Amino acid sequence: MPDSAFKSVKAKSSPIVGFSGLFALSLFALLAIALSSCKEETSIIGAQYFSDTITVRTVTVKDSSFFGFSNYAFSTVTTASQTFNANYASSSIFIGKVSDANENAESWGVFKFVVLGLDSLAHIDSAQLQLRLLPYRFGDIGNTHIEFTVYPETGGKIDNATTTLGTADLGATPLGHFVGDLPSDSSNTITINLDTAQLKKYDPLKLALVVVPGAMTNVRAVGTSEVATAGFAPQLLYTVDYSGTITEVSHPAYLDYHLFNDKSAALPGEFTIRGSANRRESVSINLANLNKTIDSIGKYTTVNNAFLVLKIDSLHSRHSDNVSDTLGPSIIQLRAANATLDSTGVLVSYGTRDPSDPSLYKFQIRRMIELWQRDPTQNFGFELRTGDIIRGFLGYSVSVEDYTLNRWTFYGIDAADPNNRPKLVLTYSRF
Amino acid sequence: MLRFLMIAFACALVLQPTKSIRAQGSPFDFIGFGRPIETTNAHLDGMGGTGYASTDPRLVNALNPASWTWLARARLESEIHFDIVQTNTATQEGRNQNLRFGGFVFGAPVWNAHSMSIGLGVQPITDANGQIDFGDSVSTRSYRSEGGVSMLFGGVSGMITSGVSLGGRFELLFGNIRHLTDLQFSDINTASGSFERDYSINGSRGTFGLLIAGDSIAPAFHGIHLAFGFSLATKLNTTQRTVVTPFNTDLDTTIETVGVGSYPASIQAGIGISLSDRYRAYGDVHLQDFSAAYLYSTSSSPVADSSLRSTNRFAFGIEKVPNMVGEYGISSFWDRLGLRLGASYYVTPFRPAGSGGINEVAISAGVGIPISYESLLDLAITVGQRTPTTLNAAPTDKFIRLSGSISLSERWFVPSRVSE
Repeated sequence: MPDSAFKSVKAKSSPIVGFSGLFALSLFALLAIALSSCKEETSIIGAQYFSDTITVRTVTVKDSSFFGFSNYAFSTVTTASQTFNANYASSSIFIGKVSDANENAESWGVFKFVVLGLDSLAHIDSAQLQLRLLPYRFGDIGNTHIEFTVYPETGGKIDNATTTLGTADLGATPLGHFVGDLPSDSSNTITINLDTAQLKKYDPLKLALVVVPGAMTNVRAVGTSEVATAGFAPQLLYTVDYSGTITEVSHPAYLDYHLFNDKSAALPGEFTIRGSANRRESVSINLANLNKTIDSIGKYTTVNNAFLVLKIDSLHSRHSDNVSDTLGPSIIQLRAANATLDSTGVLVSYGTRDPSDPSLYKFQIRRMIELWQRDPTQNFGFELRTGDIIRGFLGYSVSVEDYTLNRWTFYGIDAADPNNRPKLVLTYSRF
Repeated sequence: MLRFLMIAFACALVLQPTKSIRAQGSPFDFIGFGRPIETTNAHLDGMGGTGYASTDPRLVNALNPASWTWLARARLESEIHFDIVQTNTATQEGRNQNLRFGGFVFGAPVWNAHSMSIGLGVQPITDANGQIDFGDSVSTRSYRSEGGVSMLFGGVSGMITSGVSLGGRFELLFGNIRHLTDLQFSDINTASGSFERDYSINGSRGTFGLLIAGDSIAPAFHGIHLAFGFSLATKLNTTQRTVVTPFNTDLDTTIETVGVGSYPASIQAGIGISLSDRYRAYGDVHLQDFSAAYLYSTSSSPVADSSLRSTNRFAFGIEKVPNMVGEYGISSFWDRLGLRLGASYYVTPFRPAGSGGINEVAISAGVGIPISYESLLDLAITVGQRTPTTLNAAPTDKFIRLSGSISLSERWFVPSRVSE
């Protein structure tokens, strides 16, 4: 080894440094511990040197160039080439009416039962229609008065797909009548005695019973055959007398649904969504224009908030006393183009009333906006609906709003007062 | 028993889990590649980061591969350091801690004929760790930077003629500088968001060193060592990876774009002077031009990072060599320790807009404690300050760095140049 100032030699003795070394090391360790126990204070200092900062912005858009609104309703559902009334699979049948200065709507119940043949019908001795009341009131929810009249329909107009029916289609003479006062939460069974003399006249294969509301100020609900719980299905009970032998027979309805007729006037500059009429508002968002117009928003934006804010017309809106109906309208994301009978929609959120302004309903649509920004081909828009429930029609799942009569009326994009128009409040962030 | 206690303590210090490592450091760590790490050895830290011309046979000197020629035995070294940085502006103050692992270095003589040695290691060369928190009535944002540039190297050195050593090593530069953001809103209805932008880099370069013993030039220069060296500029392959994690985590998005970066060449020179058998003095100068450097660009005509500049660093140190195995006679505990002092002045690469550049001065002290047969525990403390040329135009850092490194060379380490 040439010149080296250092010696590197064979060990002559153990070089171990004993307690003193440990002492020195311990001192250093204590110093490290003492320094590390100093309180850290993160600060804003140096933020200007951080190259990848985040921009956060909140913007409000309310121009019609960003939105498209259209209203439609459907009364039937067609699956596997068969058509059904949209309320065909409902678990509630609404019977009653609301008629006041702001609303005019009526709902009838239709029922079909398997009954004995024509020959046996001649032996009928007594007959009753039994309807199980459900806790539900729409309209004058403080009123308990019920008045139901049962009419025969014998012309064969009632089938799976019937959507309209008038008094002219019904028999002139009622088969039965019920008047009473029952509270909303009673879950009572309403029993209506039917006129057997009239029943004997009809072809049992064509006979349908139609329950029409009488002097009522609200709408009540009764169970259907779709209710899984025993005792909720509408029943036809009758007795037949064969040579003195009395036989009691009961049949659940094999066809039961309600025919809802909303005769409320259309309101200019507003739109209405309505349960059981399956009236919906289809909304499209013009993302291309949004991205072009609003600074820094684009494909990889994080949408922290996207509230669709709608102003409600309270006078022309109403919901039932059912707890689930107190939820705001729902937002359903559409998953296919022109999905008028949407079986592929996804419930996104429910509207919530703005605590600071009860006339405003806010709908969180953040998830959809983020999704569409990343994949614009998924932008099929969304719908405002009164609710969302999946029913089976011949094994096909279809989303309907047959369990509610709720009516929500909001100011539209063409409202006279621009302050009442829908708006989208976006809070977004990005690099 | 004590020996084992000390080795265990030293190992625990070095191998301490990184759970307590917080991504916090100087605010300047956000700039460019992060803050260059001068040394990753407490031995050198104690001397102000000097030692380019060191011929210490008990040091695997990562600064200069040519110095490995003087290695007497195979050695494995590792380091850990802990920084406390207090940062001030005219109106604000922050205090951050940063515990980092300094990597491993292994060196061994392999061929006596030409005093040939090899060196291998992995070490960080920049530290990009820092954190900023701030908020207003609407939101709070936490910005963190993590990682830095590291290198994996392997090299060889040998005596080309008596007293003249040449060393070279191949360095694979790699690393990931991660910029992370957590965004929270005071309104509970407003969803939070996480953002991440990573710069994953790799490249390679060569580093070469020359170390000349003075008496190979003239007897009058006995006890003096001169060293020169350089590292080549590195073209980096930089992949920018942007990860956006919105509230709906199924919409996590990763965007990757491939670009290039440029890490500058550097030149170093050093001198070591034997003041006596046990006392050595060192002086180093290190030049590196960051003014054309940039971390990431996709442009065919990349623009250099305007907040970086040309750097130079001057360091001086003095050392009392440890009496490791009694080669300087049997003595007391204190006499066996290696003692070191140093100072440095660093024109850092940071030039935030309007600041005129950030300069650093530091003083340091260190101690080398023999802990076993040929193993050393080195401890160092460095105290310094970084200030902008234009006062108050940028933050001022005051920092304390504690370094601990262990240099292991036990009996079972082979080979050894010195017959035993």
